[in-house]
Amino acid sequence: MNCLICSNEFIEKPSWSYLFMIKQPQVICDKCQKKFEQAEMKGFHKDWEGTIFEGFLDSLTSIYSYNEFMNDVLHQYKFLQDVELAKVFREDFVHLKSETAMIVPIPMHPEKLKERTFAQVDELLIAANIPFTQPLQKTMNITQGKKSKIDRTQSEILFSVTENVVGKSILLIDDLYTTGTTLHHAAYILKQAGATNVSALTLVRV
Amino acid sequence: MNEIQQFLTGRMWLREHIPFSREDIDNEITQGNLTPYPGIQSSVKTLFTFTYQTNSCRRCGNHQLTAFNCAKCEGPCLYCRNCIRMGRISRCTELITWSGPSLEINQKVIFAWNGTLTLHQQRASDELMRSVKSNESHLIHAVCGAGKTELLFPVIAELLKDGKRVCVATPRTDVVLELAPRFQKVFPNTVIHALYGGAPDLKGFAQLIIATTHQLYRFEDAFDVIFVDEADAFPYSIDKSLQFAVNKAKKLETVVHYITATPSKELLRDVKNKSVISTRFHGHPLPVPRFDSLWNYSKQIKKGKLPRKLKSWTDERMNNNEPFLIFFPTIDLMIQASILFEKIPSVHAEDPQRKDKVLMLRNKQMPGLLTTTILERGITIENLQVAVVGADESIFSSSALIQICGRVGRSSEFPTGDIVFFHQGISNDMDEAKYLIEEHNRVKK
Ligand SMILES: [Zn+2]
Ligand SMILES: [Zn+2]
Ligand SMILES: [Zn+2]
Repeated sequence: MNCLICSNEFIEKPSWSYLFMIKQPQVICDKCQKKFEQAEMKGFHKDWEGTIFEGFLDSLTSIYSYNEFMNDVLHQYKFLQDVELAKVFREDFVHLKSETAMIVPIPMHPEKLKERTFAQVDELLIAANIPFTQPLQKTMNITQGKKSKIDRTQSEILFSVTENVVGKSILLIDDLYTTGTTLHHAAYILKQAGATNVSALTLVRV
Repeated sequence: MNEIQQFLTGRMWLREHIPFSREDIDNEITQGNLTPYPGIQSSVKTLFTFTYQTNSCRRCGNHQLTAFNCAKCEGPCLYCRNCIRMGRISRCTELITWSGPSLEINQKVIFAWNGTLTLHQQRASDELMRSVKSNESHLIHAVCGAGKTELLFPVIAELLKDGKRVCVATPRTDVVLELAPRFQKVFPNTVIHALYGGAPDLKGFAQLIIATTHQLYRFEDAFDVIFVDEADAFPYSIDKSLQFAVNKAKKLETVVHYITATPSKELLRDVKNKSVISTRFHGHPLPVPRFDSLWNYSKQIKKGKLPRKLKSWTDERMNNNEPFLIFFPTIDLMIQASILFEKIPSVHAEDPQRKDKVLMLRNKQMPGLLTTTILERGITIENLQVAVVGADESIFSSSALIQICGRVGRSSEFPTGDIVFFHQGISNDMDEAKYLIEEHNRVKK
């Protein structure tokens, strides 16, 4: 097997869990695996306190922290459009098989989706074989990089809700937690639409 | 003067990456001057009575494509991971190339070289010229330091004057960086593009291209003559898609010529026309490696201790003010050793500062460098001394070792130098390297 990231050949460690199909086979080598760092920071940015968004997002968990290696891998995944790399993270999401909340990946704007050719968050879940629902629609096509602090006070929300979520518990999934705008906006609109609990899980905490 | 014609003559470019406006491109397509090809090409093959379809990447020839559900073409799609760094090729992307009237090359060629070739170089150069003219593949087998680049000058000068488009390709970026300025000096009037990963996309038409073999993915039916320098070097020697790239980049009816100090058995077998140069341009014999045992070096280094022999070898170089390279079999071991050698930096393939560090060594701003096999070729530093740690490790093939020895004694002012193989038992490759070097020295006499 060749590592999906560095393309060096590696030998998979034999394990009973593969034999019983509990675990999916490894797709990257141990050297690459070790370059990822587990996330340490928890909770969301203080800047959201005192804004209209405060209290809407109930909790936030991230799997990895941001480093140069993660930057390169995500660059290849998203900007070089290497969909296959979704498999690198499938073990990180398998625990969601027993999740009772409604699993909702952050959607892309349809124009952006056509350009990228795949939805990067959906693909992470698909690779891990996790079913999900999509009650959200992205209404504004702005890239994260161009955002400013104004977003924390403005009332124009990035999403709309297109399905009934009354009384639902929701787990939002996103690739990055950077400023938090995306997740706080999504939580806000979902609770406005009647969701009782909205938590979030991101692959990376920047 | 058509800029699009200049840019896309012989080149295949992803539509999304072409540095011209969409309207201009569409306009040229309707006029038949540009042709778009699907990025993934399908062909139907027959095996006995079975017919089946195979798909491959038009740019790099890769058949192992990755399937995905595409939001652009709204269905199952395929893409190529092999050449993805140049922009992703999928079934719904187009590669565009110039198909209109061919470009007229009428640039006046100035050949500003006033050096002279040694008798050996001259003979090889003449023989190569004869093969080029009769369109037969030729192999120049010249020892390290024979001056193989110079012998190309008269051949390339004549080709350029004839209005031919020429490419010198090599697997190593370092070699491109070393060759490009030399060629530009010799052909000051010619547009020369130096292409390697991370180099800027150059507009315009270059009659002479110095490129890594990787960059040839982006050419098709472009060159009248291709010279592959160091054809035996990694990754060209093992990567079929790079050989595909070279074949695609040349014009259909032309052949490929090779230049190397360490030809593979296949190359020696397959190429009929050969010129051998066993003498360095300065006429001095090749430095012969000496073998010296160095036991348990890996354990000692990992324990934070420099093996005594290695330390005293290095101290001697520093005392004599001689620049040196120490080759290591793995990056890990080299990095551990670099902690112990204070003040001596290390370089490896992914080191972004590799270029600068080599330059600093050349300018005597640092005493020496620790390196992996990445520096086995293409670097010339006066009075360089070389040690190989773990020369018996399998990464050091006989060709790698010969190339490493070839770093020593390259200038006529310092034609000798120390080259030591530290080992834990003499390998066949070490023996073979030494034998082949001595053989060249014998032939010379
Ligand atoms: Zn790897
Ligand atoms: Zn390809
Ligand atoms: Zn597609």
